[in-house]
Amino acid sequence: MPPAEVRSGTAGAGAGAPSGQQAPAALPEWFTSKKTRPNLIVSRWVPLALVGAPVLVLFAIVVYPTVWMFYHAFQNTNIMRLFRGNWSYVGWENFETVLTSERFWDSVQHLVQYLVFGACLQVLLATVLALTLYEVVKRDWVRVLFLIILVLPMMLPPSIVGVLWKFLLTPSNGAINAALLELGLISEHIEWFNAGMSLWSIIIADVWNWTALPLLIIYSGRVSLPPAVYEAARVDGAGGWLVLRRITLPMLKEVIAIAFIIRFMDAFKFVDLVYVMTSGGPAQTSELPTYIAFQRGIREFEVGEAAAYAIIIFAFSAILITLFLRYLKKVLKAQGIA
Amino acid sequence: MADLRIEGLCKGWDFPVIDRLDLAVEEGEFFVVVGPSGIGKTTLLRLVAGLERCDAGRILVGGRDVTALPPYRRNVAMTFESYALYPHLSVFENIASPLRAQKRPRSEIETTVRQVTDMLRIHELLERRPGEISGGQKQRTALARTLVANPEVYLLDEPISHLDARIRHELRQQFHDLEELRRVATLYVTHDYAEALSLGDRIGVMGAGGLVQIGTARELFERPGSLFVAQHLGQPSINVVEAKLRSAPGDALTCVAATGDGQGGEGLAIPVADAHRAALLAGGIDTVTLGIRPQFLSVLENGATAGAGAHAGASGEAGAGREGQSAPLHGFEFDATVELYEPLGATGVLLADAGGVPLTALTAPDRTFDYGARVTLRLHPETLLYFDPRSGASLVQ
Amino acid sequence: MASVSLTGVNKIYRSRGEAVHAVRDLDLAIADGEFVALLGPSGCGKTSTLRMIVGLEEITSGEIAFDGRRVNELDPQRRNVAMAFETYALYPGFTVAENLAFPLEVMGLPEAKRSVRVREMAAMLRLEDILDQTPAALSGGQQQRVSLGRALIREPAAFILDEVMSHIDAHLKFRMLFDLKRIHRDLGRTTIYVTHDQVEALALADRVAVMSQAELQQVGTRNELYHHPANVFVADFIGEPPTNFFATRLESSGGTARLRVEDSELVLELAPERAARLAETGDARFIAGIRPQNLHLEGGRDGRSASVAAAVAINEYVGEQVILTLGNGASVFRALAAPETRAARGEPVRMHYAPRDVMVFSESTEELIA
Repeated sequence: MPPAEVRSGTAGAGAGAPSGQQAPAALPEWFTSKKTRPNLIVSRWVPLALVGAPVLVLFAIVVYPTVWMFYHAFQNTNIMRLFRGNWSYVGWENFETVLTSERFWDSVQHLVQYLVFGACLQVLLATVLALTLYEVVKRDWVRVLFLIILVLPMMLPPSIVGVLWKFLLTPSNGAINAALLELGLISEHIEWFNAGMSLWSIIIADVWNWTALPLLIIYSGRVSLPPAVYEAARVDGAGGWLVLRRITLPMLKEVIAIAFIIRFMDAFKFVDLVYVMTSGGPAQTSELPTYIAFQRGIREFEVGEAAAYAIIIFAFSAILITLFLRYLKKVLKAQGIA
Repeated sequence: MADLRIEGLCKGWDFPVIDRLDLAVEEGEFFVVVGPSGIGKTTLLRLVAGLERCDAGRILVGGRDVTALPPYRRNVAMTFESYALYPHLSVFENIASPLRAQKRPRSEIETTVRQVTDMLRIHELLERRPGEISGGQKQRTALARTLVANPEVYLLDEPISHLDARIRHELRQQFHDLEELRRVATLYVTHDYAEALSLGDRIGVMGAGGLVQIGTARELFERPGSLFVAQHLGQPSINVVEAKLRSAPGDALTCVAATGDGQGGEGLAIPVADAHRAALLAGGIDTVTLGIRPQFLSVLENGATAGAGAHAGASGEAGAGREGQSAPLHGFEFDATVELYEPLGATGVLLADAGGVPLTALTAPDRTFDYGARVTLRLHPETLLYFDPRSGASLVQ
Repeated sequence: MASVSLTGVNKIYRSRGEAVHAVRDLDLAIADGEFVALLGPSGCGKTSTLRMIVGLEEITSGEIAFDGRRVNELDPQRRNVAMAFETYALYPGFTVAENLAFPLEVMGLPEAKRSVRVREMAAMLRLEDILDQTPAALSGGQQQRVSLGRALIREPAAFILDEVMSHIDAHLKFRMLFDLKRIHRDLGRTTIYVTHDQVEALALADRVAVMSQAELQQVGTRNELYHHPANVFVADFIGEPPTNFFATRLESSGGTARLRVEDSELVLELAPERAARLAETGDARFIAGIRPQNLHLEGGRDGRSASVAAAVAINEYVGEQVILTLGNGASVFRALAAPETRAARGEPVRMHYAPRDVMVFSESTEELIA
């Protein structure tokens, strides 16, 4: 709110109104030396009470485990040593183990495949669906009905989704193969859970499960675009395709980016469907790094190695997401929003 | 009851918005801040209310330093430009909310709300919700809510700018009449100069960073301290003409206006009034920015006096100068060509071109001017305002 | 260019099962090249009318025709009208030049021709320096000029301008008004201007159509609206400060008739032919109206043969003039005076007026009688 006023202030001065006040050449001392302080003035104990409690809770459930993890990433901790308390420092050994293992690099490849065909596909599909829903369906109640139907999968727990799709994709008598055969699109069963195919199955299930999230984000982004701009375009005589290309998509660019970033971040912690549907198999061909971390840490109790996995994944995602956010900030700044 | 004192107030975000602003509003004074939109008027009110934290400076209410106090401990009340009524509460509950916050007994709340709503003539709306009443009624509800709080300082942010003319004038009248407002210190913010001049015991004109000039309505309008102030007060806004000072025969001094096309040509020559001559000569400058109020440019009948160009140029002006001392001034007359004319009801606004200098003049209603027609304009040199072309400061006081 | 005519136009919205009559039986004919303002308070139906003319809203019944050709069924683009919006509605990612060029791009005009036209328009609207900026960086006034430019660049059959000045600072407004008027003079295109601000409407338009509560109240030139308002609403809405109204009773004695104001000592003189007209109606009570501009501190000229006594309640100095709020009994009314006026609170004054400036309206229908 206040920044908006500030901006219109500068703009107003630039509007050609010759103002008696020249902009001061040098900024005043108080301004250059001022500290950034919270705007809200409240009694002294209020911030302590409001911030203190959450900080304590946060510390207990986030900070402590994180520190614990970083510590054990450099120890040879496993379940036995953990109980006996005789783990020892091994330096970067855990990281070396991870980074030199073929299993890890395979899983990175799988992750890339999942990102490109999972996250990207979801956002693309969501964009198409959201805009179709908004532009084509004109009755409110039909829109709401469609939205509810599309959102339903998101409300199911991953375990159910996994089991559901396992059934649907069962090669011999699954509903999907049966339907495809019926339609004549395939002539024999697709082996959905064979090597090379199982990751695709997970991606299909995930798209079904989560496309509604970017859809909701993009749909609400479209709803909040100013109608007057579209009326202006109509009066200007612009056709639907031109409006989509030159107006809607450019205006939704940031919203789509945000939807993508959210799905992207989710991808780095994605593990549930892998666990339920394939357990990373067959022969580790559908493993993602997170799944290996889970497997090594929770199933095989190689705590040190699992911690190294976690840190590597964290570093990766942190770098990528920082880049994304930087891009987003730049775009928003150019638009005058941030 | 108390006064409001602001000392060296500073606030900035990306750049300084309020820069070392000083202001004292006395007990019982109605002080109006007027300025263009986005200049920081609302920020000033929010700082005083405690909705924003200032970067430097002090705010004192009745001598008590409230700079570090949260809004509810400052004993100030504020109305918002957007009314900020609680949509889910009735008009009565909206008005009663400050009293409820102060934990007053129910019967007292009841009587106080009745009193104030009777006064503001919204007593019939008490059961309605804000969504069911008009803009003027919402404004009065917001005002009533502010009044019952019984604060030491009232802060009013553009309370009537967005209303229809009739309600605006009615509320203006109420601001004049309300004893409550006249008893305490009131800081009132608006972008409408007429509202400011009408209501303010004193008025501060806000420019970039702070108050450019403070004074009574007449002081500000008749003797603006800078071009900025002169331009911001008055509608249509003051004519601004760049001119060169040149000595004329005798002791006389004339301003030669530059033509409006920016080519540096020389147009209209306007004599300087005797009263202004000394101040202008003392300044030691040869160019000035002339301010000519549209209301002081009178339009004579079309073509009636336009024969033979007798009044054009130096002869007419010398005559006016000489007669100026004894008889009522005839003023300085010159020819102009009609560019545009806008009848406005009570007045008309004429845009005319006087030898390459575009000028707006206020005319009587019921006149018509055709594009391209020749008219004669008259102005009294005493009414001219002179400003420094660089700093914009007034040269003659 | 085209003439625009509306015949028996109605607009009914459905809102939660209830029918809302937004425009009722509207007849309006706008000549080719004419500048007409649609004036009224918010919610009066003027925006619905405009949106029906542009084609953004369906017409419930009635006919809208351009040059005599029915356009009810045509899309906005096929009506060949251009519109500037209250909220500017600039394309956010585009530069100013791209915004201006967009309608031409849609028309399929080649790049070279587009840029020539954009430069012409930029010169006309003083936009040359900001052609490369995006809307977010512009002030309200600049955005408004861009949106005008985008509407004007197509040379359409009619320009439709919707509240285009409502977000412009007062001291920049006159410049914009002059700009608009000059553009209309130079291009001579049919223009329909929607506003709630009577100053803008009177300043710009050849004729003003005043609307209230979904109905057209009066169409006329400035002088017609100002001197012969069709009803109380128009008299109240046109002019600032607003017209003073009094509830009065007709009184005749010794061949002269006058209006006695209820709740106060005021008596208003009537021009003889008006008195006769009032007598013809057979009513006893009337609403009398007199504009603040027509009450003067000095009498004796311009037909100011009558006067009323009052006490000054408020003296508002507003720069160019003084607004006096006056009281007599329970009557409160306003008058305009010269800026030098220093009458203080409580001071008795006598306000002079010309009997012909007293407007009289029927008490029951609120329509102008004389």
